[in-house]
Formats: sequence, C-alpha cells, structure tokens
Amino acid sequence: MAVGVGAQRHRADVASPVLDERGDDSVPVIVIDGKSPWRRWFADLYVYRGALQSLAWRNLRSRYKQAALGMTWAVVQPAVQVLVFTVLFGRLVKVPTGGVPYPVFALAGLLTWNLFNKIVNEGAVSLVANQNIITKLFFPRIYLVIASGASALLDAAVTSLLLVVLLAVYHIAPTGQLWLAVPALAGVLLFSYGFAALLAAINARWRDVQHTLPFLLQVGLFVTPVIYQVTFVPERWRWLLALNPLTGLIEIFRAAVLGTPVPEGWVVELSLIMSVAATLAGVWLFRRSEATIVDVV
Amino acid sequence: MTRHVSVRAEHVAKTYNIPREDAPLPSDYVRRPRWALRAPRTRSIDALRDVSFELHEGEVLGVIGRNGAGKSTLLKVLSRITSPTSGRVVMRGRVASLLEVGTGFHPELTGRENIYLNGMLLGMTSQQVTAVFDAICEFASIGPYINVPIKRYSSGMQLRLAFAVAAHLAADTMIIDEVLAVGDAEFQRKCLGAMRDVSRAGRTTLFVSHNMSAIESLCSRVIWLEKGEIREAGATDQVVRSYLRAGAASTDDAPEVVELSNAPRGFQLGGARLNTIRFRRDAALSDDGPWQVNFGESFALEVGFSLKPGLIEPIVGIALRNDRGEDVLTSHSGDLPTRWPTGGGDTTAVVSVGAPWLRPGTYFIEVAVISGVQLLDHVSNAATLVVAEQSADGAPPLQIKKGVVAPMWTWSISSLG
Repeated sequence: MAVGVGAQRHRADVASPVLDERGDDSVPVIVIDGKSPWRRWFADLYVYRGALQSLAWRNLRSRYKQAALGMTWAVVQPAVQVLVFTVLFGRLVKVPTGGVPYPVFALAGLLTWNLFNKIVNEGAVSLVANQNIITKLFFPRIYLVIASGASALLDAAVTSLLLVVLLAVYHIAPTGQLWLAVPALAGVLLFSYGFAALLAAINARWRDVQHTLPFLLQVGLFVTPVIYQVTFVPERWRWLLALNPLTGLIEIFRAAVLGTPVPEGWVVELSLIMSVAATLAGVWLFRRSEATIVDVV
Repeated sequence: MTRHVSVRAEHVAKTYNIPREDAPLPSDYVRRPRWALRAPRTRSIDALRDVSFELHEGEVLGVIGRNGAGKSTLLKVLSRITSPTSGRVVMRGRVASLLEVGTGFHPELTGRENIYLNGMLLGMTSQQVTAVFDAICEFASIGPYINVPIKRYSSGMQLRLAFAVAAHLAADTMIIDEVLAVGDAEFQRKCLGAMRDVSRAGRTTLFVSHNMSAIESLCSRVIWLEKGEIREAGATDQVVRSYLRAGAASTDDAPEVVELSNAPRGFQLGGARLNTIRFRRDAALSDDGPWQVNFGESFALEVGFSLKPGLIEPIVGIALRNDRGEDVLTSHSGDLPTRWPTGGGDTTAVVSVGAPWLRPGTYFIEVAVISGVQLLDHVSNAATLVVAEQSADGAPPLQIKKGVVAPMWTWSISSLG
C-alpha cells in the first residue's frame, strides 16, 4: 500500500476518510492553509499555553540578570521619577491636584503611564528581537507581545505597593469607588497590548517604528494627563486630550484611588472610544499579518 | 490493515515577494515620480510549486535536495512557521518541529531552567516536561552541571542538551531539519539511535538531511525536491541513487560564488559573519563548471566574511563531509602561521586545496570562523563539491580502494634477488 508521492494529485472530494478536518476521534487535526479563523486561533492559544509561560519566564529572568540591585530597581525607578516630578511640577510649577499631595498624585499617574510605556516599548520590538525564535518555531505570535510585558506587570505590582505605602504616609483613606481602579487598570492593560501588537506588526516590516518610538513615548508623557490633570488644560484645548486613548483610563484610575475630580463626561467617553478603537485595530492588524510575518521580518 | 494518514500535503505552493535591488529610491519619487510609482518594488520567487504527498502513521519520510531546492520552505510550511501561498496541509495529532537545535536557549539560565523553557516553547506543558526531565538529563549526560548557566557549557554539551529536549517531545509527528549536521560522530550516532527509537515507537517523522547514510538508515521513503518541485519520490535507495547520480550534472548551474548571509546556522556567538564562499580553480585547464573537479585536481576556496575589530587571533576553517556523513578532512588558517590584517572589517581567506585525493563523490563544505575555542559563526552546508571519477591527468579511472580518501602515493619496488 505504498502511496505514490508527489506525482499523485489529490482532489478534495476524494479525501481519505481517516483524515478530514473535523478530526474523526479525540486526536486533534491541524489544517495549514493560510487562513486563521477565530476558533482555530483560540484553540492554538490554549494548546501552546506553555509557550506563553516559557516566554514570560525568560523575560522576567533576563530582566535583572547580573544587576547588583536586582528587584530593587523596580522601586528605585518610580521613586526617582516621583522625586523629580514633585520638585518640578509640585514645587516649582505648582500644578493643581485637587488637594492631593503631589507625590501621591504623580505616582498614581506614573503607575498607569509606566505600565503602558513599558508594554509598548518592549512589545513593539518583540517580534524583531525574537526573529531567531519565530523563524524556527511555531507558537501563537501574540504570545511574544504578551510575554514581553511580563516585567512591566511585575514593575506595576511593585509600584502599586509603593502607592499603598504613600497613601498610608499621607493618611489618604480609600474612596468609595476604589473598585473602579480594577477595570481602569484592566483597560490600560488591554489598550497597551493592543497598541503594542499594532506597532509590533508594523515594525516587523518597517523598522522605522522602533526608531521613532522612544521619542514619541517621551512626548507622550507630557501630552497625557500623568503629571497634571485634564482640568489643568484650558477648556478649548481639552478635545486634544480627549483624543488620547489613555486620558480617560488614567483619570478614572486616579479618581478611584485618590478621589480627584473626574473631567467632563465627553472627554472621558471620547478617550475610552479611542482606546477601544486602537485596541481593535491592533488585534486586527496583528492577526492579519501574523501568518506570514516571518517572511518579512 | 490500513494505517492512518498523518500528514497530507495538497498542492502546496509558496511564493516569496522579495525586494528588488532596482526598486525606486525615495529620491526617485521626487526626480522621476511617474516611473517610481509604476516601477515594481518586489520580485516573486516560487520556493514551492504544487507539492503534494501523503505520510502514514509511523512512517519516516526523508526530504533531500540541493541548497535552495525548497526543503527549508517546505519544513517551515509544515511546522506552521509561515503559511503556504496556496494549497493546504492537513495533519493529524500533535506536531513538533526541530528546525534548529537549541532555539530559544538562554545562555544566562541554568540547564534545568533551559530544559523547562525550551520544552515549553516547543509545545509541552510544565507537567509534561517534569515527566521526562530525568530522561532528558540522562540522555544529555550533563550530570552535575544541571544547575550551572549553560553559557559555561561546552558547545557539545549545549547541543546534547538541546537534542535531548527535542527527542523527548510529546508529539505524534516530528519535523526534523539537518540536526545531525552538527556535533561529533558519537553524538550523531546517538541522535540517529534516538530517532530510530522514535520511529519504532510509531511516531511519524519528516526528516531533511544532506547526510545520505542517515537518510538511508532512517527513512522508508524519500522525496527529492528540485527548484521547489518534487522531482522524484519513492523508495529510499532508488531516489537516493538517482539523486547522487544527478549530483554531478546539477552542479553545472551552481554559481561560482555562494551567498552565505542567509544560510541556516547552528550555534554561534557572533563577532564574525560569513558572507560568501567562492570556488576557484588554480589553473584554467578545465572547462568544467565550478564546484566540480576531477579526481586529484587542485582547487582553491575563497571565504569572504566580516569581522568585528579587536578579535584575538580568529581562525577560518573548512571541513569536508562526504555523502555518508563522515568528516573527511578539516583545514584551518591556524594550521600554519598566518598573518591577519588588523582592524576587522570585510576580510577574505583563501585556501589552496592541493591534490586532495578525495574519492569521487559528493562533498559538503562546512565553513567556520573561530576565536580561541569559541565558534563565532559557522555554516554547516555552505556548498557542495563534486569530485568526478576521471582523474586530473587523464590517467585511467581509480581502482576500487578502501578508505575515506584515495591517496596516490609513490611506491618504489625493487627486487632483492
């Protein structure tokens, strides 16, 4: 029963009964045809869950290797940022914070900003930085983007502890809407990953992304209400802030934790719509390009 | 008894659109916009054309072909690294591919961590790795080094560890590319043994190699790819025989200079990058094509590479492997005192291969740049050389001899009577 190889032409309608797409028994069947239906996509996410764990672990382990201070860096970085911004914007510029001590105000903003900043920074280059792996192995490519944010998540967890300490030091009682901080952070996370996926897919083809990104993120810190509030900006310019997908999420997070006033409804709503749109665009483009991304990377 | 079909490829084709060298530059859009907008920016290359085959459960299929024939592309499609342009593949059960040993190894992490990281990256869960952990350690025989960062391992140890992980994957179908091209003879034997065990255990295997003896001992069937198409398929000995017979003829169109920039590589440290290997004939006596010599004929190889400045005494080396996978000879620039240009940059090394006495047959050339004991860059199948049966000076064909090489030494015979 030697089956002729090559010369023999198969027609789809005479497919042998032991191998069809449905999988006749418990054995999974893989179809490789350049299409990627959602069902197949999610099934792969489950089957290759070990790869996500592995990639995230690599990211965390290599993060502070051969660094004498190790995990201490996760505390030092936000602490220094808060110190600098407190002197510049708290003392010299005297940015209004609605009565909240500036260091706490800044740290709450920086917690969300740093999370976004690091996920995007590392996620955007994740495909290019791991070309040697993606050209040799299959696993859902989105896992590289997700895993590259592992250390950003760890840093955010450490910053949260720091924030709790500062809240205690300044005797700020938790607000009644504290629970809102959870969906706000989840929103930041989703948007950051969606945006990172968008940039990663583009960067695989055009490296210009990774050259302009550090500069754009530097500017981003100042055009996002991180170290000031939306209300600090004159009313006729607020629509600009409303176009920033992070504005609404950051303001909600800060209002939930510190009780700062929430800006006008339309600013928050427009900003939330922007973040959903950007996230969807990222996922769409990433899925569209992931099947042949190794050909162009 | 009908065995299940494990893999079925139906009219698989893959076209790459690669950028053209003469694509319009940004300045062209200003100077001659009409031309720039219409000029083609990419050119398409058909890496695979209408490839169809079936593979039954437990069968070991060999894929052979010259460099650039489409073998790597086929493996990439089958292991889902890239999608086919048209056609489709249906596979049954879990698939694991091993296109390179040690993909994803992290030098700073210990052997233990790397076993887990690598195993999980290849598709196992951490419980599955734990179940085979001891078996992996035993196969790799790294013993007490298990908790040492693998950057302290010798390259042989890293290789053993990497193959050990791959050999213990929980997969129904294995796709393996040229893993035996690296490593010493003992390691190769061990890998062959492991792979034989794997196929006996009923695991379907697709195996690409330039090593014809490995192909012959492992595979029940072979497909021979040429220019992206299946040229011949069938029983192993038959296809291998016609492949080897065609070997001499098909070097005719091989370019004199082989580009190495994108050639597959194994472990390397970086610091040097191999760019090209050129075939040079010492004398313009023969009208044969490049990469084709007569028995006993001298030739030269020119290796082009880039070096980072400041490397301490790098060494360039070549090794010749015959089609049975045996290393026939190694030569490197450290054999005799060699003066190196200082300052790095693009460098060329020429080795004159004088009267090598290589037996007629096909040889695979490996190139490497080494510094101290460290492999900076290496390409294990840089080029293929064919030694024709005819001898260089037109003497009668070589008599059958034993041995890997066939030296023509002078004997003096005198009568004692």
